[in-house]
Amino acid sequence: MSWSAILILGAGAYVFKATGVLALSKRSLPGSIDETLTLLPAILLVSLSVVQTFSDGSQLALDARAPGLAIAVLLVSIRMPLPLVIIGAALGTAVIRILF
Amino acid sequence: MSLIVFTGASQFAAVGVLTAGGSAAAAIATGLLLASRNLVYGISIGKLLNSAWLPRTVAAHLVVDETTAMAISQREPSHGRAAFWITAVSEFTLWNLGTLAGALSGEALADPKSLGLDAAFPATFIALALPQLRAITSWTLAILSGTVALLLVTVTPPGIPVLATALIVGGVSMSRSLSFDRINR
Repeated sequence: MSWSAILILGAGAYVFKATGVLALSKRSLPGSIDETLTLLPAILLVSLSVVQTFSDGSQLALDARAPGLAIAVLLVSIRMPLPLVIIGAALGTAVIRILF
Repeated sequence: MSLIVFTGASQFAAVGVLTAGGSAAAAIATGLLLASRNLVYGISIGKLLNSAWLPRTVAAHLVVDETTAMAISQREPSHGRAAFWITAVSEFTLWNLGTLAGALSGEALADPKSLGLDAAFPATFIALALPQLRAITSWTLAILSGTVALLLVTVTPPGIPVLATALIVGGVSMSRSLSFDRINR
């Protein structure tokens, strides 16, 4: 990939990130909108997890990642620490791939 | 790219487009679509950070899925800020070192899928995000959002599903909270 393409992509990515960071200060919004904005990344991350688990490019997919995610949800619900959750999910997926 | 772009999904996607024979323009467009969710993340991180402009402009470069996930998972804002910076510095360092190592080792490395590493990312995000969804309304919004995202995967380019659900969910809940505010007054 050419350097100019990388710079363009990098600049564009930075514009997205910086617009978000620099656009709003700590206290510029009423409480309810503020609460919604606080929730938005969490909801976005859940969608991202779902898309990353159940799709492959532009196609829906059901493979060893799904049980891995299920293991992660299970481990989180019993309050396991994050490193264990990640390792558990990765291990689960790897094992299921070997078995099936 | 790991130094200048520093957004994992965009980097993988751009390289993917090029190796499949796509143009640089298509690679950039795909990369930018995937980077757009960082704007939403940036809003939350911006509210979390202190007001000095220099750290904020530096921090902006480091706003990605992982740093945001770690930052929002903390109860105290001060912990959130610490989580952001610690994750950002370590991830920027390791991501770039990893990129270098990968570039140098090439074919010699094992397939990440055989280690289940492709499940590790969604596992991390869901582990950090789920505890944030405490009320039933947020659960509902998350389920709605995930469903819509999956429905959009087959009909929109990569990056759109997640961004679109952010906009839809954000719009829906903001309009609900606005009308709720009016009722309360």
